[in-house]
Amino acid sequence: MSFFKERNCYLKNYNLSLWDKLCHFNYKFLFLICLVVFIGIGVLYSAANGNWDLWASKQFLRFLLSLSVLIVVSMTNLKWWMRYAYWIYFVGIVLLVVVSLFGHVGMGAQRWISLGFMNIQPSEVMKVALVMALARYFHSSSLSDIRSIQYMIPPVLMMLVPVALILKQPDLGTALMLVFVTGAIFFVVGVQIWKFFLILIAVSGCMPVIWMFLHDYQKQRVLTLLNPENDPMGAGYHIIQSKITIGSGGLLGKGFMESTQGRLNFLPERHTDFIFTVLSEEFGFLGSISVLGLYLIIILYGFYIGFRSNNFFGKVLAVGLTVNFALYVFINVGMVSGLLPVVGVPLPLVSYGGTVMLTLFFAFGLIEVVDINKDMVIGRRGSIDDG
Amino acid sequence: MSTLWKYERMRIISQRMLALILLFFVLVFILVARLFYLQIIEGDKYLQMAEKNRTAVRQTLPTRGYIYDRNGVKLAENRKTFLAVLMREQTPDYHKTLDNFRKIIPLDEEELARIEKEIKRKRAFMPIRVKDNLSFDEAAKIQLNAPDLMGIQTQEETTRLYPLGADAAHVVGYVSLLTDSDMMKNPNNPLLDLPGYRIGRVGVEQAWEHVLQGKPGKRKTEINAYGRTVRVLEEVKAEKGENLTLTLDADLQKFALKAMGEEAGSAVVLDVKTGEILALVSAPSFDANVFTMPIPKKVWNGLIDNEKNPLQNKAINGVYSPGSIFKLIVALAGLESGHITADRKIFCSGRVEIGNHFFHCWKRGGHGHLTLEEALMHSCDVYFYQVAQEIGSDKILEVAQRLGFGSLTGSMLKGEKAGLLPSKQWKKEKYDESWRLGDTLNLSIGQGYLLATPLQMGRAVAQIANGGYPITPHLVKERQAFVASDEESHPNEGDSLFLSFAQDIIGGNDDAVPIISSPENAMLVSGSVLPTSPAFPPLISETDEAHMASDLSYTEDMKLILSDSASMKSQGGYAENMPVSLSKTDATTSDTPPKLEKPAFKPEHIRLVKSGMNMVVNKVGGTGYKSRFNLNGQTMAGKTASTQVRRISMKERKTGVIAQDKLPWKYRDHAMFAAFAPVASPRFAVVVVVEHGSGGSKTAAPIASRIMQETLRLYPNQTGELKRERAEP
Repeated sequence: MSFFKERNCYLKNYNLSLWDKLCHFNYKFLFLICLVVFIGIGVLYSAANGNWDLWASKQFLRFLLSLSVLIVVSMTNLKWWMRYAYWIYFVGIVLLVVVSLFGHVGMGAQRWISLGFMNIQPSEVMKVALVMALARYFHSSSLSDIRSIQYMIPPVLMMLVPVALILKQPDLGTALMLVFVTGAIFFVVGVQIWKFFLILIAVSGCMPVIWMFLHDYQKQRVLTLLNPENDPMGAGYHIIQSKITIGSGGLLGKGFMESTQGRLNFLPERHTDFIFTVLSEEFGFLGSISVLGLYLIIILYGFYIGFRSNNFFGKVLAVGLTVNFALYVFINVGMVSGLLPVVGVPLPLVSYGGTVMLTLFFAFGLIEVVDINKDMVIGRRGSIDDG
Repeated sequence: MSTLWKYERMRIISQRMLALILLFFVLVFILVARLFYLQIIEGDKYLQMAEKNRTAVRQTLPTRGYIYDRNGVKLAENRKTFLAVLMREQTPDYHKTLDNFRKIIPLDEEELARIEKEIKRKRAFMPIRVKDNLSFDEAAKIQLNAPDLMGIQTQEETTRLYPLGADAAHVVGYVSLLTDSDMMKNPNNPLLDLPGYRIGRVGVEQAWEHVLQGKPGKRKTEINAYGRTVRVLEEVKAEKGENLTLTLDADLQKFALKAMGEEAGSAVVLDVKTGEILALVSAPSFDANVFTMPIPKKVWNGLIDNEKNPLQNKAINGVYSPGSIFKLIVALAGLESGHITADRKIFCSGRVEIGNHFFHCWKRGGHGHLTLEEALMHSCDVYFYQVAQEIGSDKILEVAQRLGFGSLTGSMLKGEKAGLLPSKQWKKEKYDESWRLGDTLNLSIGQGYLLATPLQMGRAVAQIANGGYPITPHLVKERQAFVASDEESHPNEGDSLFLSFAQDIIGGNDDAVPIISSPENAMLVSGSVLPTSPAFPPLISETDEAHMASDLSYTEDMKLILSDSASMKSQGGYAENMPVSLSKTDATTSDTPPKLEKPAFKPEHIRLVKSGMNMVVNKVGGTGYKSRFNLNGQTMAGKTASTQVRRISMKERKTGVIAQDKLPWKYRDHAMFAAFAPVASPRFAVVVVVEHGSGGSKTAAPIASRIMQETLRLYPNQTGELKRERAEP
């Protein structure tokens, strides 16, 4: 197995200089990410009717900030992240508790903690922190551990605590993303497939109970998805207008800055969750599948980095963060094209918004760390030389 | 061992990652398939929906055609007025704006309540009518105070103006805002959906609505999700309505209404050769201009409660027993039947006994022996009782029908009544009673069931005066189509500085109020003389007893006579003048083969009746003698009539009939006078009906005489087409 072959020669004394790190930095991966961001800034410029100052310029500044975060993060030591994984997770939980007690209420949900100069969205922090904690947990587990039920109880709890806190906000989209990311990590580390089916059957059995616990607006969104024409000016408005916007793009689209649906405000939130529709309207089917293709390449690249990492923590971390990124794409595009209910998940790297971009770049920085330190071997307890 | 679990773990994670990648490929494929479905398969549908989202097509109001009298005097025109609107989104505090506005232009409580109501209903960027019908000065004042009037804008509007006011209100009509029932009646007329569209009511405005209204324009605009206009995508200009030139003479019309004085009734002046209506007056009248704007309740109630019924056009909608005027018809019928000759005398003893009923002459003691001419001159009832008994009612009705009684005249005015010619069959159907001799006698003096409109009487007299040629009374002389000129494509450019200033403030977002380009921008291109009434299909609608068949036969007759100018020359001598405007009748009747026919009556019969009418006015003892005149040798002939509106009982006859001026107004007799002039070569017919005017000779004849004299004064030259000596536009 080639990927298992221990390729590096300075195994015992694994300490990369800054120069080494810069040499090992994956510039191709960063280029793909920046490409999507630039496309996003162009679409935001168009969605604002050619106004640079409304969204595009701010998005660009956020990009610069996020980029510096990515570079700083990528220069850190992987071992360090492993060592503090649980602490970071714990801070994430504390922040979630704080936000549920003192958080700012926006759009009917408690999501932000204001620090004065910036707003922190603990649920975003949690998306990275949970993956990190789970990667840390499974790093030291054997296959037989993973296949035992008791061993799986702590990671399930690790997932359930933040999910419960986030559901309380309420933010169904983020909670579901945490569930799916955890599921994907369980899957890759080797939890038996029949257990997933068991959970799936159990969950569908509980569906009516879950339905009862959903908020009215959440129920409404699901019902609207099933039949948006029921209430075209009310709850169905978003989905109908979203489908009109995408559909009217046709094969080649109406052209850059020629979006009518977006420009004339038929679609609220066109610069955030529904930015994909503007892209589809202006660049058509070919444009939208090209962007989807770019996303797919980034996702595959993330998996590839996971593949070629030689330490388990790095693999799980890369895969978990990539799956997180992929879920954004699938949920958002599925949502705006009317396949999924409107759950408020932005299109990563394109939608206007600072926290998500920052979190994503932080995550990409971690993936870069995994890639730069791909040859590092980390022992079960977290020490480098523990073979 | 440790290497083994490491190895096993790494193998599993790689396998699982591959499986996950496979799953992601499937998910991406689902998304691509979904996009393919939305954008390629359903793309056209969604493109149309997006297009529908973003565009709004609005109608724009066309400019209504003008109405002129025969001399070019404006009877109905459009006037630019200004409208003050409030754009709520442009003011931080609209209460303050309105308060400041009231300091400049007063608003009453009713108006304020309406504005408040509209503010609650409409979105912030929709203009709200604050005050309409503002003059230029008022609009300028608003502009000057603009800093205090945040959110107030002035916009141009078109209002219909009737320069003659009350003088021609019934015949010209008026326009007013639509009611729900208008929409119901015309579900397919796009014009009626336009806010601010005013539809023609009564008179020419109503009857020629389809000609005057023009075609609405279309403005396709791009709108945003809130309905605000972003820009105009394409525009089709509104087509202006045609101008109409009427046969009326504004001066004569004014004079005639004035001549009616305080009386209720109507006056009609006809050109006996062409059927042109020179004046059509109904008194009392009302100011047509009050109807173009929302009418104040007080004014409305005043019109409704008036017992003289000013809103009714009595000339076409009022039906009366024609009374003694009908004796002209009975005389013609008697002559045609051969029972009456010029020399035959009939004795009047004052009454006739039929069965056990007495039929009285209006003159107690009777007139003695009378010829036909003398009988007409004295309006002897007994003479015509005798004639009627000899010839029977059928013959009278047949002649009456030929003269146009019982059918619409063809004036095309809506609301015109056909009157009633009571036949034996009609009475059977209506009352289930057989026709009695008494009915015939009542018919012979124009009483009983018989009913006619003043215009019908005028038509009958005109046809007697012109020698028996059928005519169609009509109002429209010419139609002139408007054609838009090039400058019109920029409706706002040609306007005054003031308006461009206003436009700046509005910022072009005048979406709710369609732009009406000024009529000055349009050129009057063709003034072609279009066929008058016969070219338009008669708009007989729900009018009750419309005797369409007989009406049609007249159109035919008219044409037949016209096509035979040779026979006209030999018999009447009117040939050189007759076909002036009637020659264009072939539009409707060209499909029927022309056949030669003589005038409807024999010239010697007509001559005898006319001679009798001449004696009424110009011979001592005639009932209209007091109203005679001699204007440069031109005299008038006529026939008086007084018709009872109440039954005179036996008891009253014995004790003496109560004098008319002792009766309450509404029980007095209707007074009528039908005349033509000049006697030697008749050109004009005048009919005056004074409701409850006591006696024809006393009230109606003097009015008719004055109107006729004015007509002769205005038109001293009576050959060819009637033209005023000096045109006074």
